[in-house]
Amino acid sequence: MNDDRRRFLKQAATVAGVSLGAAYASLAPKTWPLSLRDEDGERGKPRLKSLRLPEGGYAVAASNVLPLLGVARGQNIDAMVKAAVDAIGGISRFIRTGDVVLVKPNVAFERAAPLGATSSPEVVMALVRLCRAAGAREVRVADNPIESAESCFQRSGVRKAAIDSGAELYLPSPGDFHTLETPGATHIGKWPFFWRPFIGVNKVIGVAPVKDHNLCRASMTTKNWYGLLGGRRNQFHQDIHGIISDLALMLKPTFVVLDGTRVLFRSGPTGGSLADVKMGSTLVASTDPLAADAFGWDELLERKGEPLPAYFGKIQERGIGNPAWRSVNVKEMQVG
Amino acid sequence: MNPNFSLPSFPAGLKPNLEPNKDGTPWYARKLRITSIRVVSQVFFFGLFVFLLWVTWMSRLGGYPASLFLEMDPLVSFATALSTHTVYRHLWMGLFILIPTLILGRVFCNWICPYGTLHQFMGWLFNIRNNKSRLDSNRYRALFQTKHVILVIFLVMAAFGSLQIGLLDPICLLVRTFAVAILPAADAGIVEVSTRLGLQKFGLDALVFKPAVHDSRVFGGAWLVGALIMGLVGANLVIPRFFCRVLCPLGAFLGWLSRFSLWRIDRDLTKCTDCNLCLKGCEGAADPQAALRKSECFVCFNCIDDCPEDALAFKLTPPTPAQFLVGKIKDGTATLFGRKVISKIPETVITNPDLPRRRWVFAGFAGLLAFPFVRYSKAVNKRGFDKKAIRPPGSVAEPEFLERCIKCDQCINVCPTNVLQPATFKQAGIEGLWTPVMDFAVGFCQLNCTACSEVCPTGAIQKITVEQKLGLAAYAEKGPIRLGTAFFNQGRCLPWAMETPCVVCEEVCPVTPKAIGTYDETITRWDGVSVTLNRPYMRPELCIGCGICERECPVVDDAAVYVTAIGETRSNDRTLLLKGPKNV
Amino acid sequence: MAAPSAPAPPPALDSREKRVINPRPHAHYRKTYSLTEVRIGGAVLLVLVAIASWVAWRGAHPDPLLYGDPNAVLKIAPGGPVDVREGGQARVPGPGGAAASNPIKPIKAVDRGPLPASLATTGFTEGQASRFEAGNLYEKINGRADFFLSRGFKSMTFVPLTGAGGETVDLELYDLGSPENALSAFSAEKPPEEKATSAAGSSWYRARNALFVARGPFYGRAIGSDESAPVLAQLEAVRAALEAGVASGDRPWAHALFADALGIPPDRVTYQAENAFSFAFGKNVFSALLPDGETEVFVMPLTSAKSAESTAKQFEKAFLDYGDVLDRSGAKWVKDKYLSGYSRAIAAGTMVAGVKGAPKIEEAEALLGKLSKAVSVLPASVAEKAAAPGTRAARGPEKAKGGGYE
Repeated sequence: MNDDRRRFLKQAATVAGVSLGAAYASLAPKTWPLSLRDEDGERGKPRLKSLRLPEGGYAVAASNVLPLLGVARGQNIDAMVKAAVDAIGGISRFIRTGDVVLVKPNVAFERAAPLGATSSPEVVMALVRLCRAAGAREVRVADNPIESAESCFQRSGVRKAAIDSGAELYLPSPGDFHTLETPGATHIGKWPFFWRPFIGVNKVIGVAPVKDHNLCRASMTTKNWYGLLGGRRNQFHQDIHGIISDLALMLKPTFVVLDGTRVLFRSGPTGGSLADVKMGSTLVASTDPLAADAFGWDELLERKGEPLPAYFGKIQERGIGNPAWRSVNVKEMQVG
Repeated sequence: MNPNFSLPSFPAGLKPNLEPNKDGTPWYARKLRITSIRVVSQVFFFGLFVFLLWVTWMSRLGGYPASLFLEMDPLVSFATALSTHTVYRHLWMGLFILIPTLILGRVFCNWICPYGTLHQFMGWLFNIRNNKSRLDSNRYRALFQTKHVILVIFLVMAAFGSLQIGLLDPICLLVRTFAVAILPAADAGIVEVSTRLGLQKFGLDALVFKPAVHDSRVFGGAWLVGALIMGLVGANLVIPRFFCRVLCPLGAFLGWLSRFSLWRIDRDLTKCTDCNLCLKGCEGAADPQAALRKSECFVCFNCIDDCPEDALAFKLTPPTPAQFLVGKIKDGTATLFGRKVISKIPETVITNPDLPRRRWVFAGFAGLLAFPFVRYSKAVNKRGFDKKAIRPPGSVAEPEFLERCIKCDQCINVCPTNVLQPATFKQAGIEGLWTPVMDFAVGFCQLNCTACSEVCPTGAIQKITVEQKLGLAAYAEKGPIRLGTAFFNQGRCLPWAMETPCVVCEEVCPVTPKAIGTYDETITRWDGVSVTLNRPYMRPELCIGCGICERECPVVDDAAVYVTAIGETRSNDRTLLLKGPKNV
Repeated sequence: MAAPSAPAPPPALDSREKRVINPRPHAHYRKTYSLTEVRIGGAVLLVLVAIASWVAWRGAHPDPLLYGDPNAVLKIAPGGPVDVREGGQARVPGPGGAAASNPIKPIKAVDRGPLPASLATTGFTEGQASRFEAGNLYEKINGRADFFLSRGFKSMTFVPLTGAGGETVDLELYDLGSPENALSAFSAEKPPEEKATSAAGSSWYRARNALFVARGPFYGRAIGSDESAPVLAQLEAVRAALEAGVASGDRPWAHALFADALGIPPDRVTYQAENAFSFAFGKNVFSALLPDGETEVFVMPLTSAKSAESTAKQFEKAFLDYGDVLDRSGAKWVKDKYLSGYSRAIAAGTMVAGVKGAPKIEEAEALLGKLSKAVSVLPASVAEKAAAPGTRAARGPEKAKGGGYE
């Protein structure tokens, strides 16, 4: 008898507990703890967590005295990188002890370095060494190429250059992308961004080759930021100039290096034949990517006199750069 | 043992027992039994198998023999030798398994085969049977003849030029299952865990099988491959080693070979009490308690471990005792060399596979008919081949391809862009099921990459160099390898149909000069704005069919530029243009 | 096996029943053990270790051509370009692949220039020689053609040589019109660590398997496939043939000047036709980098003493853009703000002589003194000839100047 009653009470309590629990979870107001109530379907929608890059980007304080463009010509790449950076104030102006630096080369395609479709491994290596010598705690090299990341880094030699010079290589994997908010951008106000290499970074240096481009006509330091985005990049070509000006808005680097050691002067941006490449033997360092690009357009692609691609104007309208490089302080030198 | 004598530092269960055995052998003879060594070997080879899958990737491949297990699978060597009359590249390594089998029997099945190890481990892990039930589950059944029928059918088909062993060969099956179903899942899990817990800095990412891919790898029909392995592993709960005993064509093949083996398990009739305990762990269901079925025995040695009378031993060409018996077993008067025979079963061995002659004949006929049935399906012929059956670079022409491809999917495993996919019935018929085809909605064939040709064990994808692929240097006359030809669907192309600038396809076209050109026109758009459109067109002489245009086309669901198989250089039947080098 | 600590089974079961009921599912029942099994086990372990080592060894020793020769794509010279948008103009559909397979053809019958009928030494045979001119030089030397075109390129003769063992030596002989141009190409291609020899009218150096020679108006590059003895002998033979076949010609006046006045070897002298030191007015400038790697001395011939004066002023102004004035007893030197070198240019006769980037002011003064003295005693005929514009290959019309955006 006692047993029966106990069993009944136990079962009744279980029934009551499960019913009440289910009722609470589904009916309690959503502010109550453990409530699952979602009256209008809003709560159940996925929420995009978006991130922002630091206000003002990664630039260091501007200078009225120092040249804006440092142009080094020659054959010895180590010396050229150093000379070009020295011309705009020296590496110690940009990199301080303990900095975490991201070097962003353009490794978009799986091409050997001499074909000019990617940043030169020698330049990447020289730059990483320079940063490390200046006391950088960590130097990272990252890009999200169009072709398979590993093959691109391997074939271009940038993988070896980065590892040999002591940089950390960041190749994209599915967990590495987060939505980045770029206030004011026309198209990429919110766009998946290759975020992982940026965690903890306080200096960003772009290293871009000088390339002809089938659509936007020239791919240099501003277009280089393309490789930081993920998602549906193949839509960008519908307004490539707008996108490039958004890219310039999105990322304001510490400085950029325009790698004109080789110039892919046609069949860009992929190239594939040495006949499309000429030796530029020039490196440009600049705190104004647009000025560097304009220099590259005039002097390296040798298209001086032709109208600049439309994105130069769009970027200038946004007040981010000055394409009239001849009017700014330029220091040119022959090295080695 | 005296229960009071126990060292306080050892909990009761962990106390090492270092006393010698009752037969006087030292304690380690008890621990290092042949079965323990076997487990070590199984763990080693399973680990090696997974490791080799891990190195099957551009940045890790180095000189590793990534397809080692496939190359030393003697059924692969034998069946491709039947179908092609040649032994490709490293397939001679089948000897590494063939020779031990001829000497020791089917040691491969229980010492090396990673799939066998997987089945045995799962059976052990999820075992709920008691001893009696296990004895019954390990008895031989007529069902186990099936694998021999399967093998005969496959070999007859192979002789005609349709290689189907890969459907069920355990190594092919397991490599495929890993490549297509398990590795993507494992990678997703590892990435999830390391991102969630912030373990990336601690090198957890190094475990990822396919690092540096920005989207998870996807494979058509992964569900089917996954369901198959779940079903086959689950079948161990009903019949232990179900796959190995019932389906495995390699096991059947090794069974045929092992009839000649010099060593075998032998039963001592004067010790055997017919207690049947030897069946408790018999992996092959080889009837060690009666007449040992030599072609079924996996040489796992569990029976020796389980025999309480020490009646079983592994012996070099033991004689059959029946001829030496004196007296009658029925009456209990039988003796053998003067010793009393205890067992009631005088036979000790059955050498040949248990398949009645009429069933061999049936199997042969089935194979004979199966070949035309699959071959005269539309998918593989000159006409009516599927436009999306685009084979990887270096592939031989379709009929030869089907003589060689074992559907192991190592090429799919190594492909850095995920473009290689296991074929569905639609693309390749049942004959080409799970063979590699390219799906440019997923990836593209990278210009300077020949990874798939490096790992192909059978030469379905011949080993090629970059020069050969691109038609450089010595191959300039022959020209590049073309996988197919790209076409524009102007009705879906943004500049052609929608007054919207685009030409991603031209940008990414990797050949120089580019195979995609544009007609540049400035038009007045519907809203009065003037836009310049670069309307793309193909130059078929230059297109190599790499598919990067299709991959990068923003009209992703049904790309406005798409590659089909026509124009591929591997076969004269499928060329498109009159001019241009023919594959002669 | 002794079962020391397993819980005692229910006593009701006899030993046979115990086996069937399976109280310890993973136990085994054998009574005797064997050391042979231990030995076999040891042998198996050795085999496994051997397999693991073999796999590891294989992994560490990949086929060097694993993914094909990474440089293969760089070796070939593809045919003429098609579908190239020149100057950003609208693209015209190209003629398809017709041009893609054009083999390289020399455009005219081969004129061997100053080369003897055969260059081959013992064991070597000469292949088909070919000649390239300004219009098709890029077919032979992709991407490098501009280098020579800007140095008075006239023609290039290419001679391939093949040895008995398959080794090769390829000779490219560039006719650059003048010794200045030849030396300019020679010194621009010479890595700083290589030491050149200048003797008997030739300047040459050998870098591993390659020989580079400047003699008279010719600049030769002979590249061997390896550093074996036959290849080196063939390289030496090429050099000897050039010395025999090419007149050394006059030593360029600037090289003589630098060598006699300052002891600078000819291979240090470079010639910049225009934009010297990135100065727009810097035309027709000979300069030499001193062994310290920083100091440069230069001369720039002009047509009159007056223009020399004004050009010297221009130099001074240009130097001042990067530096500050330093007065040395009336002589205005400029100290560079960034590189902290001393620079000065002065007029000497119809020429400008200068020192750039010298780290020590005293040495700079001495150098400039010696140089200007040497320049002022040059014969008038030399100065006049020097001021004449150098021989330059046509580089096509200057592009129209425009501006703005597209």
